[in-house]
Amino acid sequence: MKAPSVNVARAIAPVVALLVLQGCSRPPPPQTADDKGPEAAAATPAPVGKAGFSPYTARSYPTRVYWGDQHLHTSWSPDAVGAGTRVGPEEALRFARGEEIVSSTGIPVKLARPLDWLAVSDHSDAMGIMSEVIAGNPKLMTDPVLKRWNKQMNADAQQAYAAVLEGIAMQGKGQLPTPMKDPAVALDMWHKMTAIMEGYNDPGRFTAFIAYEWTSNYGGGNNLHRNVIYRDGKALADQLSPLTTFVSENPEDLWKWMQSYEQRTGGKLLAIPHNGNLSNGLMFATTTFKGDPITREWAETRARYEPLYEITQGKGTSEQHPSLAPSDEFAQFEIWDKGNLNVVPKKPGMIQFEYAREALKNGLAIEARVGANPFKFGMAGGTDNHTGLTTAEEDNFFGKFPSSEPSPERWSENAFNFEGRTIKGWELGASGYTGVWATANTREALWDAMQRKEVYGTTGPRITVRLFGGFEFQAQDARTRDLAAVGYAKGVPMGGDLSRAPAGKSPTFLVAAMKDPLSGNLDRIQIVKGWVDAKGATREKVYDVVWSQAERRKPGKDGRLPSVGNTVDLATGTWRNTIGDPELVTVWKDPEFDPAQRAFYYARVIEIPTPRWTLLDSLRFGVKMGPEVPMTLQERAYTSPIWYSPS
Amino acid sequence: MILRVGSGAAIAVRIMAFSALVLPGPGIACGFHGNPAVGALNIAYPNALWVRTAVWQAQLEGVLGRPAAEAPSDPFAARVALARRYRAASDRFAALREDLAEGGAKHGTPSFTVLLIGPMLWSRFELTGDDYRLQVHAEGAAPGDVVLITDEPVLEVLADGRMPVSRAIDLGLVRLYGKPSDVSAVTAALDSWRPAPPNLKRTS
Repeated sequence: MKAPSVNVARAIAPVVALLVLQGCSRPPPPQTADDKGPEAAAATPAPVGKAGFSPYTARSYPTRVYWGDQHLHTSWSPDAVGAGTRVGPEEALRFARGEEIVSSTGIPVKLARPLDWLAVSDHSDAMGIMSEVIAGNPKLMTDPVLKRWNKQMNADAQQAYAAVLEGIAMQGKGQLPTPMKDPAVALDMWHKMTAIMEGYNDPGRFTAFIAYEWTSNYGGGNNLHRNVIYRDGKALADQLSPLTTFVSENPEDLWKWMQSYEQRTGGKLLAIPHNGNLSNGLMFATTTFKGDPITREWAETRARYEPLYEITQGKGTSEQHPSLAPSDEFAQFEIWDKGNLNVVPKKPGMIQFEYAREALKNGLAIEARVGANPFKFGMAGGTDNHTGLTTAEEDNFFGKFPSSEPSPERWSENAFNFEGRTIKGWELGASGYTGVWATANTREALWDAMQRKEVYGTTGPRITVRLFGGFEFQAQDARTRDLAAVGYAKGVPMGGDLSRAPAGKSPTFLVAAMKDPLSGNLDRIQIVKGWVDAKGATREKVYDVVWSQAERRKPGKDGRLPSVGNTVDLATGTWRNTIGDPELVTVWKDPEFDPAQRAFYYARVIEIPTPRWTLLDSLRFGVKMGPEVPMTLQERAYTSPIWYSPS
Repeated sequence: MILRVGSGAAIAVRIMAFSALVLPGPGIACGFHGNPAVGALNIAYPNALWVRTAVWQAQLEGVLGRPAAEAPSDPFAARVALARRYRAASDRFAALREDLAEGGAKHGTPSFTVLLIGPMLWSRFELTGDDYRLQVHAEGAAPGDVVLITDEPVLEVLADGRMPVSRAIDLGLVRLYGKPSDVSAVTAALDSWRPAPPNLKRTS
């Protein structure tokens, strides 16, 4: 453990400037004779000359974080519509933009704050097909079953209900009528979807990404889903029908499809793998899909097309499993480890290939072996809600399906039930969002930031966090007014690379975070380091690098910080920001650096405890939940890593 | 991939575990016996799921009684409790059939089917001559039926005469589907239903 290298209170003013956001602040800290304070640390104004007067005219780096959800389903996803979702893509976009709508269970709903962007990622398999059956798409009406369904759905509700049930049953058995898998039909639907996205995309104000989810449940529920995000608009996106699992369940085929799209259209795509906790050991397997050894080409292809990973969403968090990091006191967080998507139980040895930190470590080891890192990804968050409602806040949680939209019973009902193997409603998480450091709110700027991994995931709160790595950061850099300018000038942002450490130098990191104005104060910032040691073994360590109330919280003999405490009032569902700090910033230097060893570093920002949605539900509905149900949580943000390579 | 989801289905799933032992009647359409496919209702019967929300909101506001304590954890006790609920629903439907027949509300009233959305229990009131034939635990609605979607706590207050049907409709506790003229006829017939309060009920 390392003591905080910068006094927290002194650092507040530069953090505010760094983050370029409104936020809470404390009174200016007292200054001492040898402490000239943050104002004095600001750059001395240069004489006015050819550069003009404004210091910001040539600035090219991102100064704003744009918030969004890269994983949302609407009534165009077959499983969503089968579960009763009536909110379609247009309503979902309006909701994300901040409008009030009515949920599928009849509840008015609105976000506390609008989002800046949204990727509606409906399943590509039979996307929106139900409406085409109703409309009588001629390509579908060649099939007698679909023709009958069309008649039933246009007859009366009773017949429509029978048709819907029959369709659900046939899909569950994988026996959908062949025309429903017809690429030509899929292309028709895709064109309608891209038209909707185009209509709501408002460059500079709100970005509506063209996207879909490729939904491989290989082997019976082993979740290998990927969200495919387009940099492009309708003109390019329309040229190819999205890949479906009717064609292939192999992620390698998805990469080939992406390559084909890019070659044909000149466009650009990236894919974000679903959180891996439901893959039963397959998401980050250290072999190819067919079980062959990973080659350099394979690793480069995966890294190219999958620059991000969904580290948190409603079905749990996949940063690190507590059994893989027993000393990580914050690893036990919204863990789903019973089985795969069909709740088929896990076997020993699966978990280690499902979590981000393990994958990042294994990626280093593979890179040492084949010359490329297949798991070189940044961190994203999403909801994966199937309600059309991108809600990730604890006090505004509308569940995963209509069945888990607000009700007194949702906590105790089965969120999933596969042949008696169940996940309870209370296990769903109100998570998460992705923060993107981009130069503008456009498809191009946001996508480019995603590709360069200058993004981070949160479990819902809009915590603002910056991470820079370099070899020259000094303590006083954390006290400069324009901290980002220093960060970019002396280092690389999250998602970047460091290499060939100068002799005698260790990596240094400038890290700063500011609380979500509507959420809890910050407990601490941690740097998570992973590396490959001299023997080729993967290692990890979590450092507390700066923490709140540092004047009274000192690490114990075991190196652990005392708990920040807990102000949550279980009787009222409220908390007080009398603990924690609104902002934290420091410069941290790796104390155990070996320039010959590959490593990665990412920041984890931990909030103070706040009420979980279950506590708020118990109070709203007057229900008593069982002792197994968590009532508070410590929300968090995970930055994309910065990698170090000796060569 | 279709997920089997919870909601009212949860009650049904619990019930179906033992239903074959305690319940009469045919079919798998009822959630007392099998997959209720609650979600599909929202498509075929637009906004059917709003009834569930209206019910819990009415319970929170005191318009409807709060649900009883948690279902017993003991499996046998749970079966007994669920069987009692089924019996109570059946008795209320029987009383409704009788009152409708006695009140002459059948004139011009089409057949209708009631769905209790919690347990997904379909019950059909089929007009046969000058009487209704009641089939509790039907497989579903018949073509042309008016479909009335509600839930157990609502049926309880309707059957006890504590709330007229029109009020329940206004509160979203009952939603009707069908041809507008048929819906109007059924609504009028049901609204004339004035069951005696529980303390004045005749015994049988």
